[in-house]
This record gives sequence, C-alpha cells and structure tokens, in this order.
Amino acid sequence: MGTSPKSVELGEALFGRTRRGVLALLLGRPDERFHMREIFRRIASGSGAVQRELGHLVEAGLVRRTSEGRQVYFSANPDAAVFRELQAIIEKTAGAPEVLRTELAPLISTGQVVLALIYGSIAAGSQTAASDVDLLVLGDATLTDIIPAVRAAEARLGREVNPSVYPVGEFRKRLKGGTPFLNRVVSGPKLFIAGDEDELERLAR
Amino acid sequence: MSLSDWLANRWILVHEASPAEIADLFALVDRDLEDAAVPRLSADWRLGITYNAALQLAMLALAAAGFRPGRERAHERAILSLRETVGTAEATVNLLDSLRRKRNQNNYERAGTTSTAEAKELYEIVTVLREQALKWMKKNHKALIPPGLV
Repeated sequence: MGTSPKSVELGEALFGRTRRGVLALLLGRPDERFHMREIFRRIASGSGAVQRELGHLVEAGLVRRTSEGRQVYFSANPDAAVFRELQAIIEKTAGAPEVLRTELAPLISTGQVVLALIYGSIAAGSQTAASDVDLLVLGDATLTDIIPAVRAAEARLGREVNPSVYPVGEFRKRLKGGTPFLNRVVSGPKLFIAGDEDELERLAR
Repeated sequence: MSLSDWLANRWILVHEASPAEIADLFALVDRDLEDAAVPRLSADWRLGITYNAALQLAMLALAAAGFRPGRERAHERAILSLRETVGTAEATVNLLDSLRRKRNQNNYERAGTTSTAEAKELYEIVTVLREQALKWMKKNHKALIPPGLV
C-alpha cells in the first residue's frame, strides 16, 4: 500500500472533535431526537462548543431543531441533500459506538450485555483507515450471541471488530489478578456502548 | 458459491487425499482438542489450539472433497469451505472466521483478550464440529476414514 495508515486519521482530518461527536450521535441514530444536555453528556464536550456546532449544522440544514414547550430537541435531517453520503462517512470514521450500540441493542435490552465499550485506537481518537474496532463486552452473552452483531457492525463500518466477551465474575477476578490487558482497558481511553464509567467501576469491585 | 466456482477462481486447487493424510489430520484434531482441555493453560492458548483443531477439520474435509486451499488467504478459505463440505451452519462458520482474527491477535499482539468462557464455548463448538465432520466423512468418503474411527 502506498500510504502509511498512520498518516491518515480520517475522522480528525474531516471534522473537529465536537462536530464529529455531534454528527456521529445524530446521524448514527437518525430516528431519534436528543435534548441538548444529553448531547453534552454523550459526547463529553463543553456546552459552548456543542451549541456552536449545533447552530452551524442547523443553519446548513443537516440538523433539525424542534421545540416542545420549553424543551428543544435536535435530530438528523434525513431530507438534507447529502444526508446519506454524510451518514456513510460518519459511520466509517466516527460512528463505531453508535453502530455497535444498534447492533447489540437486543442483547443490551435483555441484560445479556451489562456493559460494552470500545478501547484502543478508536477510543483514543487515533484510528487510521486500517484500524480495527477493539470491543470489550461484559455479561452473560456468549460469542454465539455476540458474533452476528459484530459481523453486522463490521459490514456497516467497513472495519473489523475484535470482541472480547467476559462474564462479569471472570472479568473481576482477572482484573484483580492483574491481567495487564484488562487493566489497560479499564484505565485507558474508552467509548461506552452500554453502561458508563460508574457501572464499570461497580462491576470491577 | 460452490466449490467448483472456488476452483475456477483458484481459491482452491485440485488435490487427491490419501487415507494416511486424513488419519494424520484427524490425529492433529484430536491432539489439539485434548490439549485445549487442559485447564491450567491460558484461555488465549486454549482458544488458539481449539481454533487450530477447527482449521484441521476444515482442511481434512476439503481434502476428502478433492481440494486444498490456494496460496492466498488459505486459512480463511479453508474455514469458509466448511459450509460447502460438511454443511456447517453459516453462524458457526462466521464465528470461526471471527476467531481466526482473535487467535492472530492473541498470538502476536496482546495477551489476555480471551476469557475462559470464550475458550470453553469454542471448545464445545469445535467438539460438535468434529462429530459433524466425521459423520459427513462416513456418509461421503468412508474409504478415507482411519480404521479406528469407522
């Protein structure tokens, strides 16, 4: 291959961090609308930066702003001229958490997956065109349960997804036993698909 | 896509299997499954050894059908050929294909990505696959089966 993958950080080259986060959330879940506070929380960006990005995206017609009483919501605008193309770019560059959340949703809703997160280069924001999605899943789900969702996500993302599936008890035991891999995952950058930092801390105890 | 299409694409090549070759491959499968059951081994290694047993099962079924993988993506194509030879369910083949990558990661990149639960699940799947492969051999290629397994 002629180009070093390390020189290509696709998502970052195309969009700034906040815009990438907003687009990944809204275009990844185009049937849902989000309150501003939820957008801040999910993409962990400052409120000013998120407000500015939403303002630009609404003006450009890529995002819809709707009001209900005193509540304001934002959603993707599927009628935008470049909606499908932009959605495809976002899915391939920044949408891994959203795509995996959708594909794992049935297992999350039944409680078979209690926590799922992306670690590694994608979580660190340093992915290249060749980066895989490193996925840690905690719960009673088996590989047989997880693999169909992983394959579907791979097809949508155009990236390979590498799952590690741990029952909660084994995860806790191995973490306490000092498995370097799990300790690195827990202390390193993460993107949560199911659960959050507090839940991870609770499960690790 | 049938194996004759695979042959036309040179994903597989014509190969004449002998009973000795099939006996050797079955012996590798049984050695690997026996080793994979050793509980004191790491889950990473147990998964890797079990995957190897699955790969040898795929190779022996392909050989019995009269083929061997071509040079490129040989392991991937051997695993995928289980659908066409033994008639393995697509979900199982997809799982084995996904674990091919996990096994590479375990071997060369980082330790500890496999849970004991994953290693155990794969072991059970490949144990069933061995029975399916043997049944398929008995039905379609009985003359190639090692005497101890008939």
